[in-house]
Amino acid sequence: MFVYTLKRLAVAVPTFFAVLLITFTLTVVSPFDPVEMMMTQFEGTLDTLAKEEVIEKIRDQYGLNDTYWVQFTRWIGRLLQGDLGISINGQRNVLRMIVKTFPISFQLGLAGAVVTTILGIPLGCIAALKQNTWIDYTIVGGTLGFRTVPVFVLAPLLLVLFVLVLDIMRVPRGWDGLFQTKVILPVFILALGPLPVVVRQTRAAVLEVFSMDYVRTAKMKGLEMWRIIIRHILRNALIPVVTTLGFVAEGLIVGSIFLDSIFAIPGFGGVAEAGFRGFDYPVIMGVTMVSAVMIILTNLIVDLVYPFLDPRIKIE
Amino acid sequence: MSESSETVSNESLREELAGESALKTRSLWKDAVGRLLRNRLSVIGLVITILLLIGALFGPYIAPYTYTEQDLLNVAKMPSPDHWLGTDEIGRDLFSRVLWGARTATLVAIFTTFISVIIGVIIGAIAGYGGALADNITGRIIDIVMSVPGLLLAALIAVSIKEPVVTWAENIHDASGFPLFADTTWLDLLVVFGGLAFVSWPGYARLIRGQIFSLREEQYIEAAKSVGVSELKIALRHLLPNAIGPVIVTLTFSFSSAMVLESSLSYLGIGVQPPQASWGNMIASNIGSWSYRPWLVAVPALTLAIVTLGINFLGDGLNDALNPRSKRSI
Amino acid sequence: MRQMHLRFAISALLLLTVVLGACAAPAAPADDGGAAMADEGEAMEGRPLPDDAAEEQVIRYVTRDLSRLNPASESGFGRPWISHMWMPFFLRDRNHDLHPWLATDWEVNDDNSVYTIHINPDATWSDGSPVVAQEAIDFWSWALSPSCISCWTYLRLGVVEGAQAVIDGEADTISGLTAIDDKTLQITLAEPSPTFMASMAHYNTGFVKMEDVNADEFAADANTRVNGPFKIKVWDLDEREYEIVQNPGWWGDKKPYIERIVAQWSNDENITYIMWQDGEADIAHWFTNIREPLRAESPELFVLIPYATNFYFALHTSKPPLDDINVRRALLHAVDWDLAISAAYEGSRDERVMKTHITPELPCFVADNWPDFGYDPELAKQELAASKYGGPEDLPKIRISSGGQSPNYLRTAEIMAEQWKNVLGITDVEIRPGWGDAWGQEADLVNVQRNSWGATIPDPAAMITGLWKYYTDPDHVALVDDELDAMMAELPTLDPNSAEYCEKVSAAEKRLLGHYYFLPMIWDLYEYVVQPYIKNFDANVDNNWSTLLDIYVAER
Repeated sequence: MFVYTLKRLAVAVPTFFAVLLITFTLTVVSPFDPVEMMMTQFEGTLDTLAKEEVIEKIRDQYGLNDTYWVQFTRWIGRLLQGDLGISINGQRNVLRMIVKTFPISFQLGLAGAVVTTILGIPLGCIAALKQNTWIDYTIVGGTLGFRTVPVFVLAPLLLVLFVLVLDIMRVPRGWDGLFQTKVILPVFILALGPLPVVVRQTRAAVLEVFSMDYVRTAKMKGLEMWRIIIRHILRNALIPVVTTLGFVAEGLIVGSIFLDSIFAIPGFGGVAEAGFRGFDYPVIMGVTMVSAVMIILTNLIVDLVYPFLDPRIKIE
Repeated sequence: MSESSETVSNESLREELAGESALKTRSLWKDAVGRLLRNRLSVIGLVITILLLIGALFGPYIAPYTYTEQDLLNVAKMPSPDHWLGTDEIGRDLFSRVLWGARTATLVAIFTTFISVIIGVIIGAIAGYGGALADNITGRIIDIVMSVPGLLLAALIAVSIKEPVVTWAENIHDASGFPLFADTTWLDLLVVFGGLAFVSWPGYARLIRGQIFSLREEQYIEAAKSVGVSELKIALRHLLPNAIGPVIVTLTFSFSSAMVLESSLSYLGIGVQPPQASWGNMIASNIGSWSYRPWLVAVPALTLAIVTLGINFLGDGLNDALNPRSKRSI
Repeated sequence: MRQMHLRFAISALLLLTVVLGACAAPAAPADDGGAAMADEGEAMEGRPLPDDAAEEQVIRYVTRDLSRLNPASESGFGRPWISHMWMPFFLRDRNHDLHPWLATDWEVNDDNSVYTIHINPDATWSDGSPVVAQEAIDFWSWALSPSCISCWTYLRLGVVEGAQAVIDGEADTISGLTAIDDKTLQITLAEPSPTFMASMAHYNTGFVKMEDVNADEFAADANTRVNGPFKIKVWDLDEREYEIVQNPGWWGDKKPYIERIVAQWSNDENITYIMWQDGEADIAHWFTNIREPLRAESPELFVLIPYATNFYFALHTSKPPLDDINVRRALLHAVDWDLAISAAYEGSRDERVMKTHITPELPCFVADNWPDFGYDPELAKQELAASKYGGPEDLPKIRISSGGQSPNYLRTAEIMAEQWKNVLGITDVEIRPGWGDAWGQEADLVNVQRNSWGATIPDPAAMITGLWKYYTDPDHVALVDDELDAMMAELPTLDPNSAEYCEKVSAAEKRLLGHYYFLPMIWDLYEYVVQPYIKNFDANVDNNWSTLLDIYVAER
């Protein structure tokens, strides 16, 4: 297993650089100019004539007038020195942006995965036990129902309900650490994303186990239902848990794009969104780097953990 | 085990194994339909899906107005006999636009799903059958694609290659006069949703690869192999029927998630472009004033929710129905 | 082995439970930070509050974005208060009149080339050290140099003698600046500029002590010394926490009432509006969708920022089919602009349909300077038929970029397209809303692009000549008109007070409008939405809260 891990890590390096190269190319080759993007936010404040001058000057400051290879090698060179550059929009140190925002999103993503798991596994079990009854339908339909409403519709709806109608909270804004009431709503919304998947997987796993001979035997032996569930289903149920681990990585970035913006959370998703939105290549590259590492690592962990849970899967 | 089966291996056993599988497949499908119809939710899902398809095919003929027809003197009006669901912010009939939106949503979903399934199945099959090296290479390709947040990668691809593609199409049109390239609006969809498809295929590839690997371990496959049934035959007779269930299930799910994704893209301003009617851009262009004109958001959002829910119910039903192991037997 | 699995599973579940339990545990009240801070202002010898003032003098401000604070790079979202942190020499009021600010007064020589600024003798930095003229020279020299990243001060000081050499990186200090003594700054211009004193009141000419400037992408923090009535408490772009508080050591006679301003970032208008309705925001900026319904309900909440801005769709006159002026004229005349703008802006801009470049706020405004402007479908059809394309069938594709996702722009574009279809039979039209403000423009393909043009009040000539310079650029619209070139060249040389000034500005504008290189939208207004209990609020053309010293929070 150790050798396997080493091997996987070894191939991860070229993968990683391929990701960087592709992203860099897409960003630099695209017909959009990050400086012009930045200037649009000053609409109405600088007259357009001045804009032209300013754009040229800033392009020079960032070396954007250089050729593609000069830019790429310069970027890689700086990367090897641990310098991710300065964002074009906002002129901030990219490394610092990532270091500051990543832990926040990581905690949120993890909390989301935990909530998903804790809600999803029992719900999935119940749905399976009550297969094809209204309880099953309500659980499956309800979890799905939340998923089918886009986050940017769902979040304002929930806020109107809690803030304006019920008046039990203020609009949760920003980040004061994970153990704050204001985190509940974002985490809940984040957890809703993968929830139907976990419910389904658990439900399917439970149904599958029910059909196994040893469970039938156990049942015939008169073991109580909950014992059967705990004994035989728990391990199977952990597979969806591990699957949600993958969602931590993906949800960190994509899931939090809308949430960061809605709840003003200083998270990684917001950095990613602003970077991509503005074609701010130092930011895009930084974000891509981190997410590549995250996803490569998560995949590795998931692959390493699966065999423990499902003996049928073997590590080659 | 293989040694002992070697000793009893003969033509008849091979035939028997192949025949049993075919029989199994037939009864599996028949069973599946039965199971599907027993689940009330999936029946509802089926009905909604059929309604969607009817809307997509015939909506424009049912719609009382076209999707662009404006009545600037009657903007944002509540539902009335003339406009069953009211008019939108520039006086277009909401009911008609929702119907046209069904066509857009279906096209988007079919297009995205279709492309990603094809790429995914091919890559997954290569990974599953091509040996360790192929598995490794495709695995890294999947890693690369999955390493960039999907929505953002799709957006980046879409905007980066859009202009070259459009210019290319116009050059073809100039050179050949080929009428297909005169109107580049469809290229929009192609590029944007091609981008979406491009980032969603790894899911299928992994699924197929996983299916191939896990089924290989099954005893009857090993048995078939040991008696000398060819790889291709095994693939067609055993793996395909077994893998198609999960693929259909995933397909329905990604069908609906493509619709939701389209609405997200529209919200970010790179989805289906106006004046085309899509539920996503209808939500996006009215979400800002929903507290004053809630129905302009509620109608498309509810339609989207009901349709995606319906398709998901159908997918769930199919999941139960096509996955014979999860059938209720205690 | 099997037991190990079980143990693993159980411990994993246990861990999850613990984390969840902690997560759901009742948390400390979120607002404790606020109570602790309220005390801070009391230490300062205050100005007696008006009778109706509330206990807590705190403004909670919500805006669409916030960026680093640095007077040299400011251009966006710190403008409300940056002139109250690093004070420019003067401050403009709503009517653009200059008032003493860091400086007490100024003189200029006869040929308008040498200005002498007298810095207030009391002016000190927040650490107690005096503000001296040399500090302005040092900071400006850095702000103009290429090493200052994304800095715009040179747009204000470019006319100073020796500024260009610093901008080009050939000199370290601006030779036209001389510190006569600690409190007197002499500025020699390379050429006279009618707007130079406006620059001296511009937030980009505020200055920071150079010892505090620690990076080329300098961003001020709580340690940065200020010379104005407010200083940073926290300005953390990473944590998204923004708060400024009174500078307890401010040297001015008139202390502010407001103790602190808490700024909040909200990119989602729905959320901003929910905060507004819930009473969590006192001043909000950038309502777009909700703006008009809100205005209809309570017009008194809106405070205008006195900008002079045009919004319009520029037509690229060198790209087909807009290379034919008859097509451009047809596109203009086929649209009922009054109706279109009324629908697109929900009746809120009926009086502000853009009919000229020069807005009603600017001198030399002539309402009907575009005589041909107006809705005339018959004329439009004739014009299209007279064009080299002969009609709608062979017309190349029209690609409109709304340059931003504002529903107003999109609606206008959609209405234009529909009316072109109805009146002219043009169907090959594409609209791109763009992500943010520029996505999907497809750079070179777009031939109709939404644009905006702002003017420095009170200078219509600069606006018109700037427009001309921009739209003659081959990369933009590529207008050609030698006669107009000559007319435009003359404008900057005119005395704004002379009789012929407005005459010539109008004549040039009229000829410019005759090129039909744009489709009008509106003369737009920028506004703040201010709760009624915020008193004395006002803003100037630089979008500074120019009355900040007098603003107070009344009892609700």
